[in-house]
Amino acid sequence: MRVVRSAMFTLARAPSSSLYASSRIAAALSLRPSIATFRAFRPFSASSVPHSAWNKDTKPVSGGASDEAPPFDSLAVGTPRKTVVRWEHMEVNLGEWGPAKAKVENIGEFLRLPESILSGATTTADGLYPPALARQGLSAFMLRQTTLDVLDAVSQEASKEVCSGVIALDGSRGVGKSVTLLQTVSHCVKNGWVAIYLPHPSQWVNGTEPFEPVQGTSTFAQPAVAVRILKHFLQLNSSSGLATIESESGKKVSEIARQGVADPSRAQKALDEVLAALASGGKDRAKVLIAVDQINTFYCKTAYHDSESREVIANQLAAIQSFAGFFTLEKKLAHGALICAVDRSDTQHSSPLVNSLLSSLKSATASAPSQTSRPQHLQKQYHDLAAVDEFGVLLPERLAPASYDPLASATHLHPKLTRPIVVPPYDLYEVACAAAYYTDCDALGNVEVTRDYVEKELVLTGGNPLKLHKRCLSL
Amino acid sequence: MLYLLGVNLPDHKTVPIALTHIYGIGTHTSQTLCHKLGIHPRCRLSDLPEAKITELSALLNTMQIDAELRRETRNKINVMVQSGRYRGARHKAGLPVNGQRTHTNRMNAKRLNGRWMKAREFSSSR
Repeated sequence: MRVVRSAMFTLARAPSSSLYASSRIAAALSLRPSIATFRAFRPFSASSVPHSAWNKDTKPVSGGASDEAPPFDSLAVGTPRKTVVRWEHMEVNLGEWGPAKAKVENIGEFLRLPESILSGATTTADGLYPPALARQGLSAFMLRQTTLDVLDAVSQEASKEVCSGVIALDGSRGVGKSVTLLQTVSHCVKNGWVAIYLPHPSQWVNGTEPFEPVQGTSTFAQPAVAVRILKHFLQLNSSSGLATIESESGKKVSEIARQGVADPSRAQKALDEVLAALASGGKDRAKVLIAVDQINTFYCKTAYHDSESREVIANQLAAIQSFAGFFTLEKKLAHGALICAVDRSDTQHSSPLVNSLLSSLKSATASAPSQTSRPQHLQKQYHDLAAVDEFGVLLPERLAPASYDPLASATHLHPKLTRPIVVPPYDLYEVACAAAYYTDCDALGNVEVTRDYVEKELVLTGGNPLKLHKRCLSL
Repeated sequence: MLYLLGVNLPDHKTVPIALTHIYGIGTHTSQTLCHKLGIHPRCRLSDLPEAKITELSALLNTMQIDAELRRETRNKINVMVQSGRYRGARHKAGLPVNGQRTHTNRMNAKRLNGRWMKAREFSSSR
């Protein structure tokens, strides 16, 4: 574990450690007495790094490991900062997220992400980090049961010869879908997997990236996007993991990726070669994880237009096409797993198609939909989009947006989301752990964390982690 | 500032917005131009490569904008005035042309309508 001084501490009070710790422990134990390994002293440090510590000019390093000192080194012991105050009688440590920590007994513990992930964390939108988390300066997250379930699902998929479905993380805004995805990626990378992680694909469709039409096709290439994907791929994965994977031409994927980074005009081809190499291969090579956040941006209208001023759909972008083939299971991924998360906060790039597919999957598990009330000729066309009412009348766009989605009729492009996992809000125990954590970070001021306080926070925030975080920091 | 066809365009603005500074190009026309040239909507004028600027200039040269458009408009109004039409008389008098009320609310017309009729003074005329 690493000793980290937090810049968030202020000298509000000097608590008596024994009394404070014992009351906190008693409160937590009363909420979940089955967790017997809640230790007598649970040291934490602040998860929130001040915004000044995020280096906006940090560039991702091409190659395996990061050679530059990550921003967190500025908070290491020995570096004096005016806002840092140590507790006099305790040292605060924060466990690092890794395979050894992914156990049931560690549920509720806040763990810091590994350096290889954090070194790519910048406040710019093209960093290797979800921008919403980077803006808040968050680098440590709670281990939840949902994360362990997702890791189990990913392991099961990767143990098969060929990946048979896509794991989709769904849930309301701020419930922790991106965080769970990030934890899954860091867990797999630490376990020696080769991962491709796309934290912010909405950057590709919102009109900020240059694009050019590909001659003879209706596709549009984005060389800058392809270069960035390859850079992040090299930054995220260790060279030992990449050395086990070769393309059909015999070249190593790391070499192909470096060539693509060096020559933007060949970046898209290099990306396709890398993905083809990752998809094929035997048991000897490292397992592969393809993780995509904001999957709804793959199935939405973009801000781009072609030369005749027609809207470009996301599937027409070459970078998205490269990955969409995996999600439709056209491209087979051997000894790997596909996982994605839906973004509910970006309303501009929402996808009625994805929402409809996820809701139909959830309702299919609950009860079989009744088809007898619909006319026969409409059942075949709209069986998965629910665009007609019980009289067979086509519903308007406001009531059935999925049926007006331009991709609704292109069933060959629909993602095969076979395994939706709904990330639930915090329960009482998790709220208690979060409250205890914020107390250690001195973010709650003089608030005493009691059972009543925890229950009140649960009711007021609905267990939403984002709301709880904002509420605690606003005190 | 990018000097394009006699107009200084602001560098820090996005291309669709910056093109509207040219007389005769509005929001829709500027967006259509960007679509034809494959310029992404959030591209700043300073980020535009030389090749794209050249293509943009060539495309703007085919359109009637700025000085040509002003000349055309002035000529049309002069024709209406000299042929003694109602609309010409309204332009000449600086009154609303399209049937608006004049009992009240004619200040915009009073300020704007006569500008095509004013004689231009050149430095060489003195």
